[in-house]
Amino acid sequence: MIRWPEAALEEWGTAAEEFARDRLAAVGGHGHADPAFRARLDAMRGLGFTELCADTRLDGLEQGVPALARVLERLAAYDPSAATAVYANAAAHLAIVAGRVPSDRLPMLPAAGSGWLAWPAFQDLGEVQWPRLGEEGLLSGACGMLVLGTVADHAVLPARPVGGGGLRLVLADLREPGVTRTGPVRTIGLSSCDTGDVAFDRVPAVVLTRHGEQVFGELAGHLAVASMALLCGVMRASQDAGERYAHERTQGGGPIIGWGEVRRLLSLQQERLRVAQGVLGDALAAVTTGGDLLSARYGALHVGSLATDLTTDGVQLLGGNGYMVDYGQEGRMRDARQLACLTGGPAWRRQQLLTVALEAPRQVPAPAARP
Amino acid sequence: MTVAAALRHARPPFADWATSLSAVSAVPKVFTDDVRQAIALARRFNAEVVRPLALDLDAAVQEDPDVLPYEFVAEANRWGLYTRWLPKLYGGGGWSFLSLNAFVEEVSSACVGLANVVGVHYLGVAALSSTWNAALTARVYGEVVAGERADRPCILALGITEPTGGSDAEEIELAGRGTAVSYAVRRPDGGYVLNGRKIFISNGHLARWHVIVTCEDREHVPDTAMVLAVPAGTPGFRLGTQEKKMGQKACVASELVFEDCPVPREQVAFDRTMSARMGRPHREVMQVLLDYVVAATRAGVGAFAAGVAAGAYEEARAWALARTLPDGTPFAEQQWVQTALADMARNALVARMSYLESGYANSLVGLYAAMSSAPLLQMERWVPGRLLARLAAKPMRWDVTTRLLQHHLIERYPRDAQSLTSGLGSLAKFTCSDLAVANAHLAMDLMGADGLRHDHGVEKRLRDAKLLQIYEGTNQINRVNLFKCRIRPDETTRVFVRDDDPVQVRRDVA
Repeated sequence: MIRWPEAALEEWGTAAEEFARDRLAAVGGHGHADPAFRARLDAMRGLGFTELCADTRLDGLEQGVPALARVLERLAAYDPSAATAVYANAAAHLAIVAGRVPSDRLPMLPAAGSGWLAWPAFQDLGEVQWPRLGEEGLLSGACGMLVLGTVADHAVLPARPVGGGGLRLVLADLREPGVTRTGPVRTIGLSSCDTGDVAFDRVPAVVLTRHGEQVFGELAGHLAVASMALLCGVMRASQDAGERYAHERTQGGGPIIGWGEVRRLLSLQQERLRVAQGVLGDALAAVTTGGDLLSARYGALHVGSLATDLTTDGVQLLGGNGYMVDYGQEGRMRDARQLACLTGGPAWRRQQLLTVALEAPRQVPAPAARP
Repeated sequence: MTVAAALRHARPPFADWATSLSAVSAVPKVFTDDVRQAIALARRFNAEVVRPLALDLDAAVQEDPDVLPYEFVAEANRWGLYTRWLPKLYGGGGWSFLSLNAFVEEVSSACVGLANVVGVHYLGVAALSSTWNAALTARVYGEVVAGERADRPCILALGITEPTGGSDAEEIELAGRGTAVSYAVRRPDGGYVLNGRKIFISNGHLARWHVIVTCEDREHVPDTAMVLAVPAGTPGFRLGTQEKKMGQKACVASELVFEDCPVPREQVAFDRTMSARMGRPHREVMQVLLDYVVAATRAGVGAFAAGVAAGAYEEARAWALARTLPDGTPFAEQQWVQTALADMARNALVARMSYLESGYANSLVGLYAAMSSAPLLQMERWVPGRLLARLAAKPMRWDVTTRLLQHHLIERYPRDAQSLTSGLGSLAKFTCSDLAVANAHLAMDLMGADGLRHDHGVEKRLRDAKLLQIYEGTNQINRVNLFKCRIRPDETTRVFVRDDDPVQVRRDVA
C-alpha cells in the first residue's frame, strides 16, 4: 500500500479511479495508434486533468505532484498510455511553474484547460540532441518522441541557443507552418500515446526561461516521483492479474498456485510491488515536506528496474497466454519498459546522478582518524 | 577400442565434465564443415532475404494479425532450407543437425521470428524422426523434397499444446495429471478418429504436415499417448484463429481444430501397438520419445536465443561505436558503455557454448547420433544423393525396418543417454533464453531513446526474446527437468511435488 500524503487530495485519486474503471478498463489491446484515444483525452480534459499542475495564472490548479501521483497511479493500472498523456501535460506545466515565466509572457501561453501540452518522452538533457534556438527566437532542428506530439497544439521542450549558452525552455506552437510532425512513432510500449517526431524549420518559440538546466534540476525529483507513480500503477495491475490467474488456472492436477515455483514468482511480485510502493510513499513525503529529492531520483531508477522485472515475470506466470495480446500482461511489460525510461535511459541516469550525489551532504560521517 | 569409444565408456563419465570435449574425437569432421557452410549460407540469407524483410513484416503483423509470410516460406523453399537438414536417405541435403543449430543462430541474430518459420519445420522433423517410423518419415520427407523441386513448399508443424496444457504436456508424469482436450478413438483398421484442439502451434497455418501428440484415453494420458501425422486439407481438420502475439510476429501461432478427423493407419507415427512390441511400459517409452524430441528442440531454442543475444550485442555495439554525445565525446569511451558491451559479448558467447554442449550430447548419444552413424555417413559420402534415396525407398517402407529402428533406438535407448541429452537440452534452453532477454535489455539501456523505437530494431528483440523463455517448456519446467535428469541422486527424490499436496503424499516414497 502507498502512504499517500495530504488526505484532502484523495478526491483526485477517486476521480481517476472511477474514470479508469468506467472508460479505460475495456481498452486493452495496446494497439498502435488507437483511434479512440482522442476521445479518452477529451474525457480526461473534462475531468480537469489538464489543469491539475498548471500555473494558477493560466487558470490552472497547481495541485502539485502528490495529487498528480494519485491520478497517474490509478490511471496507469488500467491504461498506461492515457496516464502518460496526463504525465506529459503535467510535466510541461510543472516546467512552466518552475520557470517562473514573467507575467508579460503569459498571454502567449495557452490556458490550462484549453488543450494538451506535448512534452518529450525521453528527456535526459545530456543524452539527446535538442533543437536550436536562433537569436530571432526561431526554433530549428528536431525533437524525437514528443508525447502527444501528433495531437497537441503546443509543446514545451528544451532548446539550445545558437552560439552557445545554457539550455532554454521554450513553448512552440505545433500548428505553425514550419512544423513537420511524423507519427505516431512506433515504440515498444505506450502504443496509444500519439507520440510523434517533430521537426522545426525556423518556427517562432516563446522562451519560458533561460535557465533550462536549473529548471530541469528542480523538476527532476518531482518528475521522478510522477514516473514512479506510473510504474506503481502498472506493477499493481500486473501483480494482480498474475495472482488471479494463478488461482484460476488449473494445470498438473490443480490450480497452478499450488506449484512451488509459481509461488516463488508470486512472492517475488509481492516483494517488488511493496518495495516500489514504499519508495513512492517516502518520495511523496519528501515532496510534501520540501525535503531533498535525490533519494526520489535514485528511487525512480530502482522502481524502474523493479517494474521491468515484475512485469516480465507477470508474462511468465501466465505461460503462453501471457505472451498473447488479449491477456494484457505482455502490454504491461512493454509499457513498463518504456515508462522506466521517461526521465532518460537508466544506465545514463545512474552515471549522471552520482555527480549530484557526490555534491550532496554525506550521509555517513567519515571514520575518526586513528590516534 | 578406439579413443572415442574409450572416452565414451570411461568412468566416471567424461561427458559429465564437458560433453564437447568427448565429442571432439567422436563427431565426424564433416560436421565441422557443415557448420562453416551453414553459417556462410545463413549470412547470405540474412543479407538477401531476412534483414530487408524483418522490421516491415513485424509492423505489418502489428497492423493486421492475419498477415502470413507466404512469400518468405516460398523463398526459403527456393533456398533449399526445408530439405537441407533432411537425411540424404530421404533425398535431403544430409547436413548435420549441429549445423542446423548454427544456421538458426545466425538467422536469429537478424530476426528470430523468421528463423522460427524455418526452424519450426525441423521441430516437426525431430518429432517425426523420434518415432523411428521409417515408412511414414520416408513418405512425409519425400513430399518435402518433392515440394522443393516443384517450388511448392511442403513444411511441417508440431502440435502438442492444448488450451488446458502447455509445458506439462512435455512431461509424461504431468500429462497424466492434466485435463487433455484432444483424444483419438481407435478404428478397427488400426487408424484413429481425432477430436480436439491444439493452440499456439507455430507455422500451423503454413504447414502441409502436422505432427500431433494426442492420446486415446484422456483419463490415462501417459499410458495411451500417441503421435499422429495429419496433412492439411484432411476432412475434419480445420485451421482456427491466429494468435496476436507480443513478438516473433513473423511466425504464426495457430489454433488447429479436429472434429472427427480420420487418421489412417499409415499416418500413425507411434502408438501403443508399437510399444507393445517392446519390453518397457508405454509411458516409459513415450518419455523416451519426448526426451529425444525435446533434447533436440530445446538445443534448437537455445540456438535461437543465442542468435538473439548475439544480434542485440552486435546492434548495440554498432550504435555505440558510431555515436558521439552532444558535447562531441565519443560515446564508446565511457567505461560504463565498455563494460555493458563486454557483458553482452560474454552473454552471447556463453549462450552459444551452452547450446553447443547440448548439441554435442545429441551428436554423441541422442537424436543426431542415430542419424549420423558411421555406415550411414559413408554411404551418404560415396553414393549420390538421388541414387541413395531411390535405393532406400523400398526398405524404408518395410515394417521390419521400423521394428528394428524402434527396437534399437527406443526400446534399448540407455537411460543415462536419455538423462544426459534431456538435461543438457533443458540447460541450454533456459540459459540461452535468459541471456537473450538480458542482452535485449542491456542493448535497450545502452541505446537510450533509439532503443525504445521500432525503427532501430532492438525493442523488437526484447519482444521476440521473451517467448524463448516460455515455449518448448517454460524455463521453470526446464529447470526442474535439469534437476530431474542431472542433479538429483536417484528417483527417490521426486519432482513435480505440489506445495498443496497432503503431507503424507509428500512423505511417501514413490
